[in-house]
Amino acid sequence: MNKNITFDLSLGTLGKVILHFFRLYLGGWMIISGTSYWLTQAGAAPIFPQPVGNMPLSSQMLVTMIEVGLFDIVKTLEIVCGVLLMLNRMMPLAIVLALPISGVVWYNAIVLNLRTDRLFSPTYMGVMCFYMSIVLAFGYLRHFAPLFTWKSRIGHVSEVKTIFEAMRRDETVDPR
Amino acid sequence: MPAQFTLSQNTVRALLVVVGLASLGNIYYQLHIAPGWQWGPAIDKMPRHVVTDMRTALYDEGKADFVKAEYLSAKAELDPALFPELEAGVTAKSTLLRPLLGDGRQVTAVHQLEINGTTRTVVDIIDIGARGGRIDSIQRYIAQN
Repeated sequence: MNKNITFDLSLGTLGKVILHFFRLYLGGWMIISGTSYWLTQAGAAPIFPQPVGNMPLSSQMLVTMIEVGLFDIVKTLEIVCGVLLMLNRMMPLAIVLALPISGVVWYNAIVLNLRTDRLFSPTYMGVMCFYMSIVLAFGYLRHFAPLFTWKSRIGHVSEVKTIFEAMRRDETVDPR
Repeated sequence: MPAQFTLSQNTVRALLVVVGLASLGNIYYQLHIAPGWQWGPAIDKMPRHVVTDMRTALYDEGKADFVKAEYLSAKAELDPALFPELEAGVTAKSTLLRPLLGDGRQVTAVHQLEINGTTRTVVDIIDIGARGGRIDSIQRYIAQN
């Protein structure tokens, strides 16, 4: 059924528009970045040549990560994260995947490659991907707030079912 | 009270799909087309892989011109006098004495090089471009036997 959605012309609406844009752009970037790597691994032409760093420490980190196979995991998670972001599904999981990946990208760009001149460049995804991930995390803060529970009790194996309950939940119609 | 406007759910979905596809297209353009990559056999490989393939083309297949065009960057820094094997028609045989040593984008080859009946032990320190690509410089050290 095609429902109508009413929007206020307010900062809240603008915030949601920005969050959706960040979700889609970051998702697109993750998909293309991950796909390019796997195209190379499959013997096909990549979308872009994998950067291996301009400065020595960056090169050492990137080449080592690729040669020991860690990039296989990173790039697979990038694709998973990108698809979830683009489809607007399991957003908290997508953000949990995006934050460490984009954090390392930021560290590589700023700390290892010394690109401090582009620290806040809106067109440089080497830093923007991390900022977008942080902003998205604030947009879904209620999912992460329980991480700060001061004293937690140990759970029970039967709580695995809560994962499947969460997968069935649609917050757009059931905002619990 | 702030102004309000109403859109159908399908219109919102269509807008999001358009923005998503535009984002994908923009990122693809920025990474694939806009940089104007000079694609070739040296591009998008790990540094030791580049050097291995370059050595195969140069020493096993004798393709000096091919190596200069595809594996060396246009501004590659090397002393031509120390690299006679890069001259077309020169036959050179190389045997690695150690596995290739990689450190980031720098690869060191310790090899025995035979050219025109003269055999020498040579150490090449090879710097690869930042995109896993062509060789930016080679420093050659020849052992005094």
